[in-house]
Amino acid sequence: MSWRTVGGSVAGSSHRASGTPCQDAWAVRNLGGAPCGPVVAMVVADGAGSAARGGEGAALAVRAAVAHAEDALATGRWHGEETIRACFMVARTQLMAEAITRGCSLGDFACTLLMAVLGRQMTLLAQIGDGAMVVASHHDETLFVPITPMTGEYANVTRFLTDDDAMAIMEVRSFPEPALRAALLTDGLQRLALRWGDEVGHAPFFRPFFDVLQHAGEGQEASLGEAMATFLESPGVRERTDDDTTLVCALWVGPAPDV
Amino acid sequence: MTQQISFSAAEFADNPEPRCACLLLLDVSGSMAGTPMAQLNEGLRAFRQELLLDPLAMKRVEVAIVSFGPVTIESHFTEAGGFMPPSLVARTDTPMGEAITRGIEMVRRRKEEYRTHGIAYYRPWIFLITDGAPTDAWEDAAKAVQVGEASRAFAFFSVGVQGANMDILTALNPDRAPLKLQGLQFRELFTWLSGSLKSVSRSTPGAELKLDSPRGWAVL
Repeated sequence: MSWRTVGGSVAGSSHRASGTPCQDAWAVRNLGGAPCGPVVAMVVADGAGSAARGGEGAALAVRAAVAHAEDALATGRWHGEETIRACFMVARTQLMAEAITRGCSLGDFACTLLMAVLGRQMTLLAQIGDGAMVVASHHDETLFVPITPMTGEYANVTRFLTDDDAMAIMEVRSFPEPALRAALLTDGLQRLALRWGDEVGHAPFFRPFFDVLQHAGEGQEASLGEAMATFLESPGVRERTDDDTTLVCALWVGPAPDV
Repeated sequence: MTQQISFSAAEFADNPEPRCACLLLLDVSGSMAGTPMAQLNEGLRAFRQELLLDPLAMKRVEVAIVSFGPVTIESHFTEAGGFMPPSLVARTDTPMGEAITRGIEMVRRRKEEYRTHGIAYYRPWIFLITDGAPTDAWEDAAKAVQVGEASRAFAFFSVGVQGANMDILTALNPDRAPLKLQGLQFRELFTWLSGSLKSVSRSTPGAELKLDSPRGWAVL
């Protein structure tokens, strides 16, 4: 019984053309030792193109959020929604500290932040900005998007962890039923992976990832990661977006819940 | 034995591309007759060519044209891929106020259509080119431009050709100074415009747009 995961991130063609590195960041961590069964924490962040250090902000925020979740769980201080909010607060504080140390402004580290913490007794999601999380807690293929990607009226406007009101506008969702499948993605993949208007994930997009994870064996993590990078670099993805792309998927392998 | 792992079977959702609407308000008053009109038409053709060279702009940029003198919708919003530049002919007066009012309404409707069809979009551009001064009441149009700019409903740019009343263009939109065309550098102007629209159409969330300098066609 465990979570099988795969993730990857590649720079978009427009960033490559201008010599900018990938400004997305991601992390996935199996927190296997939790008292109530295996828990997985997944995080993605998209550094703002307009910010001087958006990519650094994304990397720092991801690291801080995962570390806080791991710590809270390991020390038995996990309090559901409150803790996932705290993960965002800690990530934001980390960016503030970095800004002070380096003598720049918090906005220089502007990034989105999306986090899912999945266990046998909890499904917790939190998000600020665009990008999306899909989850399924049943064996049918429907992948829900519990939090609508935050975009303004215009396609190139969103909200960031560094905004003044970030903690007030961040969205949190908590479900009692355990998830079986989940994926997080940055906005570069949004139009490929979601069915707009329906607020659901496009099942044929996610199918191969969950199918492969289902049949993946021990010690294949490296090849899974390579396959993800190859996918994100493939012409099919490239033709449809020129933005950085990040995708993280997790599949629960074990007995199904009694639902 | 290692098994080849691949995610290549993923199929993509067929969502519409986000759109970037660009409305051209073009002065075809009598004073544009002759070389200026020929150069403007030439510029429009260059504009189309430039957009066609960019696969993303071709799918995302939508162009509409309203000429004035009298006010005529030459072309409703069309994807750049299917946009056919009209051959404009110089005619009579300069009803700039009416043209702006009509143009703003077209942009408002287009945004409504985007919303109805679940199409994401960028902030629309309205681009006015004139060589004269309005022959109709333009004060209400100016107010509408300013309200639109302030509420970020659209971005309004104006370009004055030799003979244009730059004071009125400034009064239309005090937040965005009008640019004065160098000679009849319409081709260069439209090359710049297509380049700017390409930047808009590939901008990512939060990215503040950095437009290229209009050096090469504007008097700076």
